[in-house]
Amino acid sequence: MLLAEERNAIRLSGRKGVPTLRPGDRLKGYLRLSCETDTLGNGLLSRKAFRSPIHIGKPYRYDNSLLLNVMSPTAGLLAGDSIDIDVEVCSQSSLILSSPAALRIHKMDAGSAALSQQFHVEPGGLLEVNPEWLILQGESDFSQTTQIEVEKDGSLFFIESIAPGRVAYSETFEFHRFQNRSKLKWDNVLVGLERYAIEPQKGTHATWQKAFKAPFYVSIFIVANELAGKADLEKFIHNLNTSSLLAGASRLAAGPSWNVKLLTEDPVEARAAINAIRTFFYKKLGRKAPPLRR
Amino acid sequence: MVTSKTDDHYSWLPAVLQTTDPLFPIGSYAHSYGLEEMAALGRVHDENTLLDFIETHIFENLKNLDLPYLHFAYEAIDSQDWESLIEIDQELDAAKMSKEIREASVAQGRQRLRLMLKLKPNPNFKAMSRLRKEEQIRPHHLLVFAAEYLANASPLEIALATWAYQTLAAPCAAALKLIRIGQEGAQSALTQAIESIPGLIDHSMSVEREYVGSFNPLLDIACDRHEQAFSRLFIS
Repeated sequence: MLLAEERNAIRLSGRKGVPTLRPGDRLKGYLRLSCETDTLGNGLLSRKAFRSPIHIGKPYRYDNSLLLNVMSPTAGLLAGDSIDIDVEVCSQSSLILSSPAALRIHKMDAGSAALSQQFHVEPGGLLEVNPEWLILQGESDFSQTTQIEVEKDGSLFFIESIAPGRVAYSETFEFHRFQNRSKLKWDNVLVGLERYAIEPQKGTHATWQKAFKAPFYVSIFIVANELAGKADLEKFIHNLNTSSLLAGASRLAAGPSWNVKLLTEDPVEARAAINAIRTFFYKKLGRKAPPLRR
Repeated sequence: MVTSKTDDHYSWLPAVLQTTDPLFPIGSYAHSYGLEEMAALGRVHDENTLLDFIETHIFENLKNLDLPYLHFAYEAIDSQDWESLIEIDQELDAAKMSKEIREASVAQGRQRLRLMLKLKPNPNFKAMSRLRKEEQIRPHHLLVFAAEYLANASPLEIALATWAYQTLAAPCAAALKLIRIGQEGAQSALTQAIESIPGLIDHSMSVEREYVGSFNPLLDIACDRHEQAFSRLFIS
């Protein structure tokens, strides 16, 4: 695994016996994890492999859940960089993937960056994916593919939160292209499907931009048997609506599965709404929401 | 391979006129497809904002989702490729993540299939009815629409244009009950909107099978909010 600083050092030193990266070389990183439970019921990582630009910290244990902070030492992706993520949560195990910093997609003169991620949750397993913002910076080109499979009696809380640029610097919708393809399967039935390409220069961001001047977008896939029955989640989300936060939730085509969407001008309000939904989710599961240690 | 069927002296036209007429009972009059909540949010309130809503949100769904899927459903039925049709139906079920919109599509699909089985029994409708009983398709509205246009020997381009027209006319009709707009205002918005149909069809034909899909977060949220609204005039 090479950190950005190591890569620069190697490039500059050209030490004998040390692989030399040349200008134009790109990072092909990966993260492979399997979360299982030992005989005492404690979570453990039975498979753990990663390579820059992905780095993981030491896992923390809360009750039976493992919290793992995933970081990008290069503070984002550059043209040609790619990440492949494969995460498996075994039966009766519980894993939370968090990231303490935003994932920035940096300016690119040519080429694009890519993220491909697959998640699998076995019966009785729980996976929470709770990253910080994905920031589509000016002149960036990013492609993301996500496949999530949740088996019957598995639980999921999967957040995707996207900023339309470095809004604090008045940079909004100045990225070149964002391609996103997401599939959620529950009990082997396709219940959620998103496929789109947004190219602001072609005006294809209009349906997003219409919400607010600089809208932050959040999409959450939720799966939990404990939420089935009454439309409690839909009502809870409906009550989050304010003049500056638009929120909606609807049940997906099969199983105890939902999609929640938020649009807001204020990322702090979005984060507060996400935390409220997360607390609601864990309360319904009869658990306390583990701290994310960001 | 889609074959042109335009050399038969428009024998398909009377059937198209019959099923696009509001007299044809598939229940679309009961749906606003998100417009009611957009009006409640104050985002659609007159002719200009209605046209803007159509050109932004309805165009996106038409050119990237509905028309491409209609195109591929038409081809699948034409070649009796039922596996592909089942896949399209499953993808539509998953892509329409707002329950009201998904169920509106299914309700109209089932009603249309029931009617066509009664009015014009055809092997394709019977095959779709069998797939429905086997719970392999629900079916979504545009699948039955595609089968109907093939049964009438209507060209694909006519099916796409008619679907687009009906999709654009629906919010204009609903607007009469939701905002301060008269018949002329609604027709004015519709007149401007339908000028874009050829361009929407051209775009939809360029969408590859594995890239069919749209991004419409504000409309999705409006549809979700409508589901929980205290009072509603329309089903969706």
